[in-house]
Amino acid sequence: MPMKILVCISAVPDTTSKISLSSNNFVNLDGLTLITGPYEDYALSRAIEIKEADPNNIEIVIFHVGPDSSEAIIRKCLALGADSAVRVNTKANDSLQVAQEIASFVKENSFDLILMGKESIDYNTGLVHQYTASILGWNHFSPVMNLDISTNSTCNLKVESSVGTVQLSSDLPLVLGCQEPIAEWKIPSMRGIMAARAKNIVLREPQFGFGLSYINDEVNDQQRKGQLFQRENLNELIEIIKKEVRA
Amino acid sequence: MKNIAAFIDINAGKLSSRSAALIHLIQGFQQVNETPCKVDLYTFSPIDLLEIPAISSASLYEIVNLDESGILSRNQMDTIISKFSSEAYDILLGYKSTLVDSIMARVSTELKLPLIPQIVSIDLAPSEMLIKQSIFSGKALSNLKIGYASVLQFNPSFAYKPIHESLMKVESVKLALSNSSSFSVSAINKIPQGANLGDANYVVGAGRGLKDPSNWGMIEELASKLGAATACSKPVSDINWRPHSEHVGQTGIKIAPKLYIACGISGAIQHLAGVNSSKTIIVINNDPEAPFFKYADYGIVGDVFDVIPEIVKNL
Repeated sequence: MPMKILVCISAVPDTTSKISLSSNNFVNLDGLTLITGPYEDYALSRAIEIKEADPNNIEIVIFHVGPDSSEAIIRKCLALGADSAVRVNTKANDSLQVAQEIASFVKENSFDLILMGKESIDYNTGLVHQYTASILGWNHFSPVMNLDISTNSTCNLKVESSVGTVQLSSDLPLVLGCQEPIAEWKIPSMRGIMAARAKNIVLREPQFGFGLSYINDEVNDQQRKGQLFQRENLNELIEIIKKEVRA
Repeated sequence: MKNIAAFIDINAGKLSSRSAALIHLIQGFQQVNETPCKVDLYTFSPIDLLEIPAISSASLYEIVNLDESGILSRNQMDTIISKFSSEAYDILLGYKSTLVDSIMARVSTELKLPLIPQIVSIDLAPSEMLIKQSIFSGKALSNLKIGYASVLQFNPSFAYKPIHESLMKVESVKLALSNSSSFSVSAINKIPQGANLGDANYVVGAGRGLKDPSNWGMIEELASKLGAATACSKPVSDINWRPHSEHVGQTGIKIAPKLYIACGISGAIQHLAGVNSSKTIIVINNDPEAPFFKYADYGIVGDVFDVIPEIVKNL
């Protein structure tokens, strides 16, 4: 039996995007360039390294909750070396909804390992992997900085915790939130891009809704003081530092 | 009557400021709900007797037997979840941290309470709360309404104006976790106590402007004078001048200190995404065109090798 890895990806506006509101007073994503979440890029890159070491025994499936505007991003993941993909055809509204979709797919199709980023860079909650593990009752670690599959049933991990970095091993199945330096980001090869055209993106209907009542969004224009000192006035800056630390 | 649980943290026997903010919010709950709330405080820090802002009553649980790795195993989590289920909490409060996040996510799914993450402010009305969340790494905020049954996760910058200033003392009761673990630890590389970046009140960050890893002595000296944690930019951790655990930015740690001093960091947008929750930002850079100056409260155009030792000498 090949080992099955599910890599869950987010589609997020590029880091440099300027955030604006649409007429309904929520963040307007139209026209922004979407990218694979950078932490998910790390997770997928590591999955691909694991597969490259043992191509016949590892299967990678991409999982994404989002509208058809995400297809190009999913196609890129396939070009990098994932075997197939599943897209839940709805907008990803919150972490619990996404986790419920992941968990329900995993209950229907057995997986050994679920990888994703430690957080998406749009809503930054870092909760999808926590919820997914909680719903499935699986072991969970995040943020994971190193991942090696040591046997068919055990992983060696380096995890950041409140006390420092921890080297540990845990049995599969596992849900992991990943961060650098777990792998180097990969660039799809021409051969990969060609191969991806023939790979399957399965559409799945959403099964879970969203229950919170959002009123609106606002752009956070932080006004900083912007006071510049010259070298000869360093003493004034030192007084400000002293005051800030005392406050 | 509402049942409230809150995770708090304690530094050197004292309630941390981010945890004090949560107790101030509980004062607000008690004022708005009129009937006193039952309040249970939970901490992973060793404590016998703790001084907290006064609320009508409070119990304090010290959770003991947490693995040395600082990671909760599933069966240890079960102990906490069964305690929380039996207490039938309506509201769980906690600051953002890997350890507490994992508990809050499980409480949310098992007690069927919605979890609202990344809260920066709250207004309390009699039947609902108006919550402001940080989204897009602080570039935008989201407003939502929710009733008094939820799990609330607070950003480090959250503050709530105290209803009254008096203090009270609470004695702790121990809540022991099981010893059984679902993973085995082979090594722990501890970060120095008090240097936890995500929670730090003061942070000194440095970038490629330092020119060589051997020049970090003055950064560490400045940090030690201020009681600050040290941070670095992504390029610096990528070339292994500094450990990854110090990397602050979009793909690193996000900080929210009272004061952030950035030394020899140009201020790429990816770095700003990790530091824009800082209350005050001071930038030291010899390039007057460095983009960081536009996002600073105070800046000084000067050579880090001249300016920093001068600051250290005069603090």
